[in-house]
Amino acid sequence: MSKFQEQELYLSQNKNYSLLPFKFERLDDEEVIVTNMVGQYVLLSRNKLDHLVSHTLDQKDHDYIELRSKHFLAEESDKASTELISLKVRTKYSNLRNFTNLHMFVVTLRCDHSCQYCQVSRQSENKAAFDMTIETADRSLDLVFQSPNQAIKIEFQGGEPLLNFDLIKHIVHSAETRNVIEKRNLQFVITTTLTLLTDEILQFCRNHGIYLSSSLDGPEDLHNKNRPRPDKNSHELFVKGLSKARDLLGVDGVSALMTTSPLSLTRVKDIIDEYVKLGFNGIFLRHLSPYGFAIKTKSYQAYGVDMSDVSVCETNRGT
Amino acid sequence: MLLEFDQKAYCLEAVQKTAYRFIDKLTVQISTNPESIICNVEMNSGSEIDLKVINSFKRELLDQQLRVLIKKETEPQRNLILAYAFSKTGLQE
Repeated sequence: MSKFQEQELYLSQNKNYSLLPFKFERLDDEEVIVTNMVGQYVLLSRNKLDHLVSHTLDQKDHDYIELRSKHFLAEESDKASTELISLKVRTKYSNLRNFTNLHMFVVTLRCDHSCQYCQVSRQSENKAAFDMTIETADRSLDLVFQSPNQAIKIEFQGGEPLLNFDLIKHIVHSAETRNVIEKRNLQFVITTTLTLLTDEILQFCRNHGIYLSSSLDGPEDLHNKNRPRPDKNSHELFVKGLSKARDLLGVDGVSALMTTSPLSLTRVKDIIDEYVKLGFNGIFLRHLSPYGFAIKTKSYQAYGVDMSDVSVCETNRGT
Repeated sequence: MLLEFDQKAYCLEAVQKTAYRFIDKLTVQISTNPESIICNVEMNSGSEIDLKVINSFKRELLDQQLRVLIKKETEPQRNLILAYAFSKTGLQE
């Protein structure tokens, strides 16, 4: 004799069920996907969907059991269904409660480099019209401190943000002043090529706990091809800047990432050797992105991906 | 081409959502009278009406109508779930 009761004992006696909120999308003429508020899904035949919505789906049907377990339908006795799915919704959207903690200030679009893959609409170095103004920075800080997140990270981006270092100083001082009252966990990062580092800048970074995030694409020849500047010495200046920055900020005070260009693909060992040689214990790989200057130069297509195919996929997804 | 849908079987919301989904293929002008919802349909390309597209439009309309029914039936549950989920979080403010 079985130790367990027959399945029928547990079936709802009145065979009624109510629907819980869900959406559906047709996959083809035969099949649909149904999804709920927390991203759970079930694949159903069109016929089963009609039965589900008409409240005529058989309790013993395997789809019924799956739909019930994933909270697409609830029987009268399923008192916990609403609370369970509510808990899942709450978890799924818990990130909204604190909003974002990362705030990027693009303090200038000017740059001393002219990288083909740049994801920013880079401008030449001498056009002050492309710098952020103090008024914009102050209003942006208003927005930053509207975030309810206890941790606030302000990242300075460009262009080369050190070309507008006076504004960085203003923002840091202003944010720190506001933070006397706000008492947030406030951090700063400057994303820089390291080529324009001076002792004054490094001293300021040390005094205010500012981290540096930089780029190293590999050995000198590869780095300089990827990251051209007028004197063709980006790598040399990076190495000098790295050494100076580590002396003042510590080894952990400066990090680097590698943008993967077509030239990188055959130089894996060289790139790793270069990172090891310069004392890094990890490599962050950044892929090419179809933004900013990379659109103009079409360098984002460098991996051989036909972007027209991507456009077609996007269009299909949208209809 | 004029397409006429009985208001007893279809609601305006479903027709509007269907028209929007076909915005890359069809230009749809929607009007109503007490009994019907009328769609004046043209191909965006200016070419002859493609019946395959029209049939697809009609199938999509059925889906949209079903979505309206599901939404209406589950709305109280949806509100209850959201109320449970976000009570005491401060997100409703």
